[in-house]
Amino acid sequence: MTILLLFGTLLLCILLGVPIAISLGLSAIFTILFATDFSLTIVAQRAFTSLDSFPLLAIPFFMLAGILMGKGGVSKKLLDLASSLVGFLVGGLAMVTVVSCMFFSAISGSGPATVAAIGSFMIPEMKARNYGKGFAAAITAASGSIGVIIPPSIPFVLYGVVGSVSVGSMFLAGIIPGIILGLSLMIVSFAISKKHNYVAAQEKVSFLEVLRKVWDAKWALLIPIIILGGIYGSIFTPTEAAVVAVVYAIIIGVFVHKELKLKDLYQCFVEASIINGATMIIIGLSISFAYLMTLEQVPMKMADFLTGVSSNQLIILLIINIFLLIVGAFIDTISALVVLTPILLPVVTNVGVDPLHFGVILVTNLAIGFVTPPLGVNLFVASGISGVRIETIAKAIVPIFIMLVFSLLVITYVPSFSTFLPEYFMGG
Amino acid sequence: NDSSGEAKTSKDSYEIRVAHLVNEKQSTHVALEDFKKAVEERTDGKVSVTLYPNGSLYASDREAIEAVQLGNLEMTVPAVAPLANFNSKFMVFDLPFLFDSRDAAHSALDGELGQQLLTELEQNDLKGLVFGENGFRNMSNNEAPIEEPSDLDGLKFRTMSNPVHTASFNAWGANASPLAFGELYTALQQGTYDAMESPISLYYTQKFYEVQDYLTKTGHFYAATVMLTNNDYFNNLPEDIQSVIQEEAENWRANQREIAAKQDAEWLKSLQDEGMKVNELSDEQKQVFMEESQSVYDKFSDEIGQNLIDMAKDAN
Amino acid sequence: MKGIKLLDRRFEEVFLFLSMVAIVGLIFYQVVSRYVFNDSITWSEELARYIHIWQVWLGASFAIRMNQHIKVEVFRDLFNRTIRKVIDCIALFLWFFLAGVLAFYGTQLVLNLLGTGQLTPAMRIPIWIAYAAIPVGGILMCVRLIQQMILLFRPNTLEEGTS
Ligand code: NA
Ligand code: NA
Repeated sequence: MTILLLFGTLLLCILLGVPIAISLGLSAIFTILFATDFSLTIVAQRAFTSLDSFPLLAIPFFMLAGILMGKGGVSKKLLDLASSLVGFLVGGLAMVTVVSCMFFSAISGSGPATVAAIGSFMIPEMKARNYGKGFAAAITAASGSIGVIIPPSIPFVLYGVVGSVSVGSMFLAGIIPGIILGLSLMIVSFAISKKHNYVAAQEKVSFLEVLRKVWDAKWALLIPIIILGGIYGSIFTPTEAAVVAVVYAIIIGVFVHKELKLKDLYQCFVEASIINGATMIIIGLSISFAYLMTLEQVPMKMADFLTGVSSNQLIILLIINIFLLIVGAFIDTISALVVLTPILLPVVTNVGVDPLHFGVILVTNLAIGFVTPPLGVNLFVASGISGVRIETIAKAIVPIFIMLVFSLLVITYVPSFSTFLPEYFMGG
Repeated sequence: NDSSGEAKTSKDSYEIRVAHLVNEKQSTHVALEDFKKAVEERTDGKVSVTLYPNGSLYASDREAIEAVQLGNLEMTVPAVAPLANFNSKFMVFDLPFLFDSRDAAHSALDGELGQQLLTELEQNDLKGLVFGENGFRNMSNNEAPIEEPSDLDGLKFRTMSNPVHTASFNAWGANASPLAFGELYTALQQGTYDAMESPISLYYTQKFYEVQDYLTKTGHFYAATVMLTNNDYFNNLPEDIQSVIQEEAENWRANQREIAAKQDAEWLKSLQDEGMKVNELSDEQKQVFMEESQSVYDKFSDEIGQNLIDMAKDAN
Repeated sequence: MKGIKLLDRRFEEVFLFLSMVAIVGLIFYQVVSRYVFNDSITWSEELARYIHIWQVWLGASFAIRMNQHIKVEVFRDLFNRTIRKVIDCIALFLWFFLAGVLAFYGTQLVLNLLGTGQLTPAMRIPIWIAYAAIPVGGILMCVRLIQQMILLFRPNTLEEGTS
């Protein structure tokens, strides 16, 4: 009964267009009011305690660093580098989009931010060269998903905090799966481009020219080295790494590229704060929702249910993947992580899945959710910058989606893609 | 200020939710299972007890204590350290080398000192039933066995977020700073921190033996726990239920301490089997540590109250 | 009128900017102090955490003005303009209710903490100062939601929020 009230209210509020964070909070409030004898001070208390965590502070600063780098003129340099690498292939511009999103992912922790940074250059460019406008927006939206798999990654930070897994190890775990997703998007771009006769963007360039582009993009390429090197060299924690990246991005933007003025800095800081507010209150309110689920012992029931269906790791992971793809269509990444990590993580670790590997599976599913309607944040951003209707993008994304799901299965059933780097660098 | 407690006086069933942080294997939880059984049996099922271990309901002691205080949770069993934020008298337990032995600690906590502290809690809307224990905290590091304070020189030492703890370690020469517990394992593995301190049980249950080589049985802090309910909630329970709970709390205490002692011995051996090198401090060596922490006593004695400190010391 | 416009546009914004600068400064100083002065600060993380919580709840309020909250609008989009307005109105009311709960129960929580005198672990300052972010955020959200309600029925009085 309590559970019905909880989920019924949630669904109703979401359908009415109430923001997801608020819907989660409201369903917790109504459930507490009508099905328990608790006081609503619980909701207020949790709105505070759920955010009282230092590792969570990495999230706003990885956002801010991404915004500063995007405005500070590095997107263009990353695009030039990507063009020199893959621009000569069939479907050159689509390839360049995928590869520049991969590069930008190593700076930004967010999917939508990656779409915005690369898409605002590439979608108009593709449209101008007669690419289907649906495909142009769809491939950008999908490439943006890599933003949360290649480190740094906001969902990995959150998974680490909620699931008590080291954030640094999660970052390492995402590198190979992120590259796999990128390659699969290049493959599907190639096939679609071949079919529609989208040609190369430019001639093949010499190795020396590539090196020159690398040199031009050096300030941007140093960011992942600072972040990852800093974390693995035990120089700083992920949160400190995010702040160092912010300071670095300011210095590069103001003094080296000279594209950031004081007024831009103000705007970037405010923009990051607003997105952070809208993102973090999801954590602040979904934790009350998760609390009621724990109180109703949903995690235990879910575990019993899943292990009742099968004790086979492969089958349990398959069921979870299907479930997560459906959830990802309707719910945003942050709420899904806060609510589902405590439920699913104990189930899968019980059947022998490595928590790092599961983190990658979980986040990859939710990253695919970025491009599945009705709630696909990357679709919204891609539509916003290109003016292409959501429906048109959604149609064009079908083959890309199938390819992403295929990569998801590869990542799910070959654990060492996720666990190899963390084991190699951090011994587990 | 808690209305839900008053509404319950006429009810014929009561639910006691107990939320705590430790895992199901640890003595606190094992003894709580007996507590649950006994309370439910002795009240003919009128009272039902549900246990939420592993921080599944409240992720920190501070949060759980606050929830009990607000009347949103019936019971919790926190370490006493975070209670010092609620009532500064509880800082007495943060002082280094306060008790010489388990027996001394037990006699102080079950006697006048304990009673005085539990009564203190009523001002904070809390009702403390009994003191349990996580045992003595010990030090570990990756450099060498610790024998005297100078062995701590320059060690990057993780402490709890507690001013007395940090002050104590800095007084002994360590470079002490707090760090979130969840980040500790990785920090030790990567060498961001060299050393830590905790009860034996955590070294075993959280696998710190994998990232720490030397364990020294310093017993520098005695880590008590306390079984807490909301004061109004408890006082509004029917008297027969109150006395069942109080008696079973005392049984829980005896039971928990016994299991804790057994587990400490067992797990210490397991730690050695896993390759940790264990050494013990002699009384003389402890004396040196104690002398070098006088500045900490001087600094905090006014805030805690000299008479409480004397009462604790008298138990030795 | 000009004053109100300035307040509408800049009230949370200036706080958001300054608090973000403060946290960056604090954490960067923590890193520098550890490596350059070889000195670990014990209170910087706690202070950064509390400023951040304030920032989140004020940012959430400003995000209402800037239309930045994540929602699913496909269902609502199925209807004509009039019904859409009704649905939006209900959604704003529900949201207002939640903001009201945060404001009211957050205040109760703060008063309770004032009474029990709980201190923060590292800085040992009264913890209600940090908790006050919840009721203040709730009240600001209420104000922003009333403003949205007015905008819903008089769409031309204020310029649309942009990011
Ligand atoms: Na990324
Ligand atoms: Na989706």
